[in-house]
Amino acid sequence: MSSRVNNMKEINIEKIMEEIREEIKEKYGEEAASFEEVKKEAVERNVFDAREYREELYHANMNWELNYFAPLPGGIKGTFKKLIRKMGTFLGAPLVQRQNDYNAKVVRMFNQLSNYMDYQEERNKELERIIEGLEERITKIEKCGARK
Amino acid sequence: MKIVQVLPTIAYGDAVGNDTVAIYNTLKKLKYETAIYAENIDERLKNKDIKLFSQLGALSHKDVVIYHLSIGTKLNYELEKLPGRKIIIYHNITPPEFFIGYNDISKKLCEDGIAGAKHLGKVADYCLAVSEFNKRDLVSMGYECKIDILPILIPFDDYNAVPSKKIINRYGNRDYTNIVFTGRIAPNKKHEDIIEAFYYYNKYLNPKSRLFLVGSYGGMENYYNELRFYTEKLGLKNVYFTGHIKFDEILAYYKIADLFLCMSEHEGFCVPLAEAMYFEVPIVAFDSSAIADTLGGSGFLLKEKNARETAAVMERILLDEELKKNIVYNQKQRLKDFQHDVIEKKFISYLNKFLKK
Repeated sequence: MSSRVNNMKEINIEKIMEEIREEIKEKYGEEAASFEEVKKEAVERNVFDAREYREELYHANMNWELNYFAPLPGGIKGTFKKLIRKMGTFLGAPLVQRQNDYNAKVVRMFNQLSNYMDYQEERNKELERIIEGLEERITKIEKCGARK
Repeated sequence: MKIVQVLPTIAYGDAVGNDTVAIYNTLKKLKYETAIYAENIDERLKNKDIKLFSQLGALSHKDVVIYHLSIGTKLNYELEKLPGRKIIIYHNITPPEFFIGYNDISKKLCEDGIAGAKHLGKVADYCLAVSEFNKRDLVSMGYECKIDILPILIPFDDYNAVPSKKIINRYGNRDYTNIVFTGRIAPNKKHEDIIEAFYYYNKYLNPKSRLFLVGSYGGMENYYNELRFYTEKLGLKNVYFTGHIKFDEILAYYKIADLFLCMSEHEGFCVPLAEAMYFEVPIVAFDSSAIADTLGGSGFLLKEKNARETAAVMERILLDEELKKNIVYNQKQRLKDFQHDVIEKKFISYLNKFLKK
């Protein structure tokens, strides 16, 4: 505890809390949803969203490459920036190149993942068709067995 | 005799980093041969005496190693290999349970940290805990050496920098009441409880109010998404998650704050409380871990978690000028305990006593 507690103004927290407990009986209406309940829903919502994934992948494919020599605006400011960029080329350009190599690899990896997802989707559809056919056959067999 | 400081990571502007640099400056002032050794060094820290741990040269048995303990790292097991006496400054380790379902790496680091901290109990010759709560933590982990309490050194001078005009112009108008909490988005800080209290405050007591949750959510994206979803479900429009922002922007949020609300359930010290004191923002905080130690009788300490009551407390403080004035006055009194010269004097006195032994 502080050495300066004695210099502090007295605030009777307990008394304030008692008053507040009395007051709030009439203050509030509807109760807030509980975080624990909402959390469960949020976790479910956090499951994979294929549409969002494809949108993000599209953007990644469009924007993975950085251009160290991207056009700069004209005027004094632009000229100044161009000059600084030129002076820093020996440092900046290899860094951008390394970043681009990395970006390319990451985007390629996600494209592969996307191909795998497509393959799995097709395969799932095929398996569903097979299951459907098998279920039909089982039902037929069960019906035949029942008649006998 | 050399006095060196060792820590896993020295970051720019974080509590442990600031404390380490402040102790370095004090040791320099006392004319000790000193340096800081870390496994990871933030490039922005430009000091020739901040070196990689691998560069730590030979030490003698007369030397002193000050180790900052805050996380799981192999350094927790390297320390015993160094000659010299060991002082451990314990900044606390978040219980790993808080990270279940959110971040396995953080959970593992905290588990390792606690195991390492227990291991270091046998290595420490003396400990400094940044709060009474941390001292109890060390004792419960089996530390038998002398433990003194030394609050963290906070660079208050940095807070005199110019705050972001953009934030002040956008939110500084007096039509709205601004509730603020600063601290990274992490499950132990219980942002959901802040949001729930704000729900009652905003919906029933003061619709012209805003809540700013200032802090990075890096690594805690799942928790952040849940919090966002929670605010959506509660129909709250005025909750702002700033994410990682620049220092001048953090200052601006303190400047526009009418009340600082902290519902955290685990803090080793909680520097933002001292920051709120500095900016004269009345504090309402839930009594957990080191919160009461840091407030030291100031602020408005909640003994129970009840969102309806918390909202009503916020309303009372914001409407009752006298109460607000008294809270801020008490906070200013408490802040004097954290002034640089006060802490520095304490540190020097503890160090001298330790060296005389």
